[in-house]
Amino acid sequence: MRKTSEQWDAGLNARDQRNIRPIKFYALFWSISFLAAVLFLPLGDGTRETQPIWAWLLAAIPVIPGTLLAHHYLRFIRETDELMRKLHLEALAAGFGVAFVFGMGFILLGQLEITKFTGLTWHLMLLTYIWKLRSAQREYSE
Amino acid sequence: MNNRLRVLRAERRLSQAELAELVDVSRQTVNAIEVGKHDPSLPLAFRIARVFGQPIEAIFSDGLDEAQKAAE
Repeated sequence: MRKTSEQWDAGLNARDQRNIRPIKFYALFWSISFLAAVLFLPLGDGTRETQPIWAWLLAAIPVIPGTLLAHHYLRFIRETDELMRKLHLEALAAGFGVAFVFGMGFILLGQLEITKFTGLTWHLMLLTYIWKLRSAQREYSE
Repeated sequence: MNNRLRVLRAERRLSQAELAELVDVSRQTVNAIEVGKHDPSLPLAFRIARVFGQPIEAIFSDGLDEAQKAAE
């Protein structure tokens, strides 16, 4: 898998390689800040007064790299060549489709008071996006 | 869609990466066009035709001409 990914990156032109660098950086930054928030955020009782200010800041920090990640990803999509754009848009569409279908299904389950799957929507979206992109890379990397 | 990209590239001793740089796409895109996995957009087809100094229809065809000739 890693070998395919490295071969794939090596085949990209200089502009795409340049545009991918900040995407990788902000994806890593977002992942670390999100993980830190998950690990260190205190469990609240649902009232605003009980949360310290640092907890609000910790929860807000991932928004910054997330926004910059989206900005740089959009720039990559806009500037990359037509095949790359097609593959990324297909992966995004597949991720959205899976998230929409399963997310709606989870809402229905919520009506049956089965709510433990609701949070999976985002995971499914991301996993489908990655799976679709990786399978396209395998198909086209020769 | 059929194309003569691999033949033309070999005649001019260009690698996929070199052609990709000349027409401003990735090497994967050149490869995908050559093996018929991707049909280029019209602007890209024009850029490729310009590199080889040939009209688009001399490089790309939809396969109908060959089918008609075979029928005759």
